[in-house]
Amino acid sequence: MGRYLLGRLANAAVALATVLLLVFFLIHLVPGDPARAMLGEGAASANVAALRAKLGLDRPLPAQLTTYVVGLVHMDLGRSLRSGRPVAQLLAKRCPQTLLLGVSVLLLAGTLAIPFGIFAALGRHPVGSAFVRIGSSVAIVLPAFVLGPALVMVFSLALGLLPVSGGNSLSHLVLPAVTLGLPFAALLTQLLEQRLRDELRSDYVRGLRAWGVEEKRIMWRHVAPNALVPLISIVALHSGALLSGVVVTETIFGWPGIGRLLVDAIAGRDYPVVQGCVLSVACTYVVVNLAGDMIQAALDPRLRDGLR
Amino acid sequence: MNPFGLRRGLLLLALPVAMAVSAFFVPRDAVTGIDLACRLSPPTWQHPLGTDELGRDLLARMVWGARLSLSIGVVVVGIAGAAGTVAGGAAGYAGGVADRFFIYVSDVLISFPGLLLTLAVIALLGPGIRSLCAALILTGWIGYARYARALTLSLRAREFIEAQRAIGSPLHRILLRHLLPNIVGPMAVLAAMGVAWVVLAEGVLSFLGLGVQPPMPSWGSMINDGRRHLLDAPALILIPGSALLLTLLGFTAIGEDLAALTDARDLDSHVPPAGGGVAGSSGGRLKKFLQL
Repeated sequence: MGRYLLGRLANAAVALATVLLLVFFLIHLVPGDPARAMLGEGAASANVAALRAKLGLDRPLPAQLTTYVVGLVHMDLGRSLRSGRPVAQLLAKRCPQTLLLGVSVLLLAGTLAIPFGIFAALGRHPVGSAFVRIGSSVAIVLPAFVLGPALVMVFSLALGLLPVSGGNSLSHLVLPAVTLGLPFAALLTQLLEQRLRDELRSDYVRGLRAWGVEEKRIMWRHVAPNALVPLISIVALHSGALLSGVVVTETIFGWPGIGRLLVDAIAGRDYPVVQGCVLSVACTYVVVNLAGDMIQAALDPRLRDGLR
Repeated sequence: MNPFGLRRGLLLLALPVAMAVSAFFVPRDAVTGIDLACRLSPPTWQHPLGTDELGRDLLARMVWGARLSLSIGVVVVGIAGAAGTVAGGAAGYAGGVADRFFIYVSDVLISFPGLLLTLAVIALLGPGIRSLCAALILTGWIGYARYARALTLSLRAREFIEAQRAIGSPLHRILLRHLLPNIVGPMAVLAAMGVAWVVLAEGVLSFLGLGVQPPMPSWGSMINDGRRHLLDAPALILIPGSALLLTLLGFTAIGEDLAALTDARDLDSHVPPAGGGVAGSSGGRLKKFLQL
C-alpha cells in the first residue's frame, strides 16, 4: 500500500509542478509583446511600457519566477487587468459555484447510470435493453451547446418550469446539471453495462450460481461492486472532459463559475485571470485523479499490492 | 459486428459532405450579405431554410459552415495524426532516452484536462480560425503519438521485424514497408473518431466566440446567434444543431465500424504468412477495411 501511495503522490507532485511552470510561461509564449497584445495594437508606447513594468515583464526571468512562486505561496495570483480586482478573490467567488455544478452532475450521472446499466446488462427485456443502448449512444454525442439551448426551449420557454439563466437558486442549477449530466450518464451506462457483462460471464459467478446463491444477491453483493470499482478512475479521468464541458455550460446558462470567467478573460485578453483559471482547473484535475486512484486502491486490494 | 460495413457511417455523413461540397457553388455574398428587410423570414422559395436575425440565408450559411467544419476536422486530424504517428512511432522504435523524453512530454501535456490546453493556446494566439487550428493540432497530436508508440512497441518485439533487422534491411525499409502498414489500420480508427472530436471542438470554440469569427459562419457560432431567438425562430438552433449531431454520429460510426473491421486485437495474434510477406498481408487488411 505504502509504495503505491508514494508513487502516486510523487506523480501528482510532478504534474502539479509542471502545471505551475507552464502557467508561468503562458504569458511569455504570447507572440510578440504580451503587454501590447493586452492593450491592443493602437496603444501608446508609454502605456505598454507601464503595463510591462506593472506585470514585472521587464525584469529578468528568474526574478519573475521567484515573484510568481512567492505569490502563489501567499495565494497572490496578481490582479485582473480589466476589473483591477485580485485574481485569487475572483476565483474564490467562482470556485464554489463550479464545484456545486460538478458535484450535481456526478450525482445525476450516477443515479441514472447505475440502474440503466444493470438493467441493460441483465438483458431480461431485449426491447428495453436495446432502447437503453440506442438512447445512450445518441446521448453520448449530445454536445452541451446543442442540448442546453434545446432544454431551455422546452423547459424554460415553452413550459415555463425553470429559469433560463442565472445562478442564485437551486432551480437555476437543474438545466446546467442535466445538460452536462445526461451525456456523462450515457457514457457511464455504456461502460457499466460492458463491465457487468464481463463480470457476469466470469467463473466466480458460475460458481455462485452452482452454489445456489440468489441472482439478486449475486448482482448486488458480488457483481456490481466488482464492476463499479474500475469505473472510479474512469470517472476521475473523465472529470477533465467534464471540466471543459463546464466552460460551455456556464456560458449557456449564465452560471457564475470559473468556466465563464475563463472565457471572458480569453476574449478580453486578461492574462492574469486566464493564468489563474487554467491553474485552478488543472490543479483540480490532478487532485481529482489522485483521489480517484486512492479510493480505488482502498477498495481493490489487488491494486495496492501491485498484483495488477 | 454490424453487417453493413462502413455504410452506416457514410450514410449519416452523406448530407454534411454534400453540403460541404456544394459550398463551392455558393458565392460569399450570399453568406455574409445582410438584408434587414427580410430578417427571421420563414422558409420561402428564395430562402429554402429561412433567414437569420440579419436576414442572411440560412441554407447558404449552413453549407459554408459544413465546408468549414469538415475541412478543419480533416486538416487538423491529418496534420496531428501524421505528426503523432511519426513522433510516437519514432519514440517507440528508438526506445531509450528518446522514448523516455517522449513519455515525459506527453505525460505533462495530458495532465491538462480536455479543452483547457486548447483554450490556453487560443488565449495566447488570440481568437480566429488559424489559432483554432493551431491549438487543436498542438494539443491533438499527443493522443495519436501515444497510440502509435504503443503499437510500435508491440510490433518491434515481433519476429518479422526482428527477422528484417537480422537480414540487414535498411531502417527506412523496416519502418515504411513493415511497421507503418501494420499500424495504419488502428490509427485510422483513431483518426475517424478524432475528426468527430475536432468538429465538436471547433463547434464549441466557435460557440464561445473563440473560433471562427463573424461574419463567417460556423455551426457553433450559428447556434450561439440563434440563442437569442429560441421562441420566434427555433430553426436557427435546431438546423445547425442537427447537422452537427449528424456529423458527430457519422464519424463515430465510421470509427466503430473501422475498429470492428480491422479489429485492433489481431495485431497481436497476427502471424505473418510464410511466403507472402507482411506488407502483402497488411495490404490485404487495408483492402478489407476500405471495402464498403
